[in-house]
Amino acid sequence: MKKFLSIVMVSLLAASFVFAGGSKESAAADDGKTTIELWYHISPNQAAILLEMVDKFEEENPDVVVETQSIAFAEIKKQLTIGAAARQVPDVTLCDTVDNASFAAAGVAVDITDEVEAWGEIDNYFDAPRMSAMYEGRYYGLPYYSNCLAIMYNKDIFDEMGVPYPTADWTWDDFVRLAKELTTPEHYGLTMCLYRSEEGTFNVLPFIWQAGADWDSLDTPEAAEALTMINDLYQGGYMSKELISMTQADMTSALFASGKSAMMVAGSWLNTNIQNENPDLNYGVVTFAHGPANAASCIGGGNIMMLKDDNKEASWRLMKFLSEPENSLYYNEKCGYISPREDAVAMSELWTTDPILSVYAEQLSTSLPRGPHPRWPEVSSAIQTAFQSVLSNNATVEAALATAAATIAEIEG
Amino acid sequence: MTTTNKLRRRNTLLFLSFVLPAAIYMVLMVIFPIFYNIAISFKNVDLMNFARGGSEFVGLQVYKDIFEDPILGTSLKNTLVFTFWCLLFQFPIGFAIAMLFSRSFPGAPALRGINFIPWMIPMVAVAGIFKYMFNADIGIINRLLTSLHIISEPIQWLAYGDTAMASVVVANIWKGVPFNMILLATALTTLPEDVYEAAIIDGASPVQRFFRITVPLLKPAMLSVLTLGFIYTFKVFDLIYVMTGGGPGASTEVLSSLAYRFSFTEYNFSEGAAVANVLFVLLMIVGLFYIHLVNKEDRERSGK
Repeated sequence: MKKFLSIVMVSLLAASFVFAGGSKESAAADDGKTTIELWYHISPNQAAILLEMVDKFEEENPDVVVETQSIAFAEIKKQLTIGAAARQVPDVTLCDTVDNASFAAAGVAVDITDEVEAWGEIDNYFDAPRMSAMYEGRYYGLPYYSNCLAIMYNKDIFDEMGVPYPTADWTWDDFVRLAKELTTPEHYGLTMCLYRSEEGTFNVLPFIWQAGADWDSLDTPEAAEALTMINDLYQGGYMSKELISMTQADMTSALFASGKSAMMVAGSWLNTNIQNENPDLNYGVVTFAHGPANAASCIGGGNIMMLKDDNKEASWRLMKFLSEPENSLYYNEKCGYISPREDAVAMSELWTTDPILSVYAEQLSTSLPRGPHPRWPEVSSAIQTAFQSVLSNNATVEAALATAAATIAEIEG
Repeated sequence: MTTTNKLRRRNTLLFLSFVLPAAIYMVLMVIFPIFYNIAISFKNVDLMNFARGGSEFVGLQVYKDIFEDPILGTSLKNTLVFTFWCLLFQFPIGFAIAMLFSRSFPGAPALRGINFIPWMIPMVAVAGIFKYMFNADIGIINRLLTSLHIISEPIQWLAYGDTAMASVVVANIWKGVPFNMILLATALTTLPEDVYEAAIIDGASPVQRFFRITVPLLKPAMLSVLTLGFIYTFKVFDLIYVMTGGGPGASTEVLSSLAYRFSFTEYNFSEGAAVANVLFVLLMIVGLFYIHLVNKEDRERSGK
């Protein structure tokens, strides 16, 4: 037994030396090449396109080697945070747009304002993605891929019921009327994500903007009007009660793709899900209905951040390369997103003529970013608790919004 | 140096070589995280200063904040409600099945093995299956209840607070019954046969035998099962996380899911650590109570 234990201990010790020694040795290769590390959190199909671009970059820049590392979508923020504390971060990483400000405020992302200004291309970007990369007036990233929400509608259901399709000039009244009119025992009028996660905030926030409020003005009649509209549609049975526990991917396959919902608040990337579930679905897309204030949508997507300034020049070269109009166009078209660059969108045949993607490209110009706020996850969490308490009959609209506003005021300090 | 000294030294070394591996393991894997957790709950560690450093000691401020936040009370209440209902059903059902299997009938060992399956399925899978079964539109539970004419309209299980709590409780009971069953069944096999034989000769009815012999003799085992069951149920996380995410609103938010939400959704590590410590203290009280009971039981038995 003692012998066994000592063997175990010795091998454990040995293993710890191996692991301790094996981690850091790649940085300075001897052949004069600069090695930079790139992390990404996108799906395997999208990663294949990104890696294609990276290969092309290495071909054009023989002095740079890019090491890539895939991280699960849900894990990347945790990994980057933990990595930053242990001073083990990649040179360059993709991140969710909504997290760029947090990483800037936390001192994880490098200020690249001088590079961005010298580059002189940033004015070609749409406002919302561009703003998502800024914190306190400085740039801490470059928008890489964008998407936004709009309203998908099932043409067959509209045709069957003899209801004309919604058009870009529709209003909230039309929206509510259609949701009610198109609800039958066979299908719901509307589907939107009401899940207790960032996805829920992403879906609810556009309506708050359209009413004329924002995350920092939730205790206003405008915000109450938006939440009341959603709640009335939910309690009235014009939406599935299951939406409270469904992600966007879940609701797309369970409700919209299977013909159980006439309309859905949805982003362009969900086209892929619909293609996989039910390629024959006959559907269209229209921009959001005009609320009392506007018809704003919410952007999502990802930015590229620089995290280390050791290899600043090479890292910036990679970021610029990925952001060139042609490359931005290629990546975003292949991945079902919209380029955050207005000039790339104008170059694309897909985004200007495709009946679905052209609507998203148009909606992108009237979209807003969430926040940007360094403590956005906490703000978002307060919003989620507010709409979920209302929908589950635990609080009135006014009480829930007052609680959320108080929480957010505290976050603001 | 005398021989005895040498021997003593050798004995000490031998002693250390036995203790050290376990001690190192405990320090690295158990004690360090607990103390680290306690330490950061007295600082203001969040995403802003986690990476850069520069978090400050703030004393009891974090605890003051979380105790003022109504969500802590709600989560504690939810945790207690969840634990209460789970134990109330899990334990008697597990006991009944254990009693059944204490009799020998054809196929008993095989059936006992099958009954243990729920305990071996990972909690995440159980949660996924039950989430699907409780789905209001396509779930089998509404289908079953409507076809038996118990309900006429489908129930929106996961959409409202009370029914969502009931759903997670049912899922956890299903998962927890075998745990109670197997421990009690094992304990039942250790009971002496002769006591029962004597009781039968004296004309004791089965009910009397159960309450006068089985229950008193099983008392230590029952206490262990209840305490362990309490601890397992009280620290529930994966079931809630997958089935409801703590929602709707905060109606199924429990302490562990709240700690996770603070730490890894809101990136407020200090608040997350503080909630985890509250959970830790509560469970430690239960653990100490359990140790006290076991010791008392041992003393009583050796005294007799």
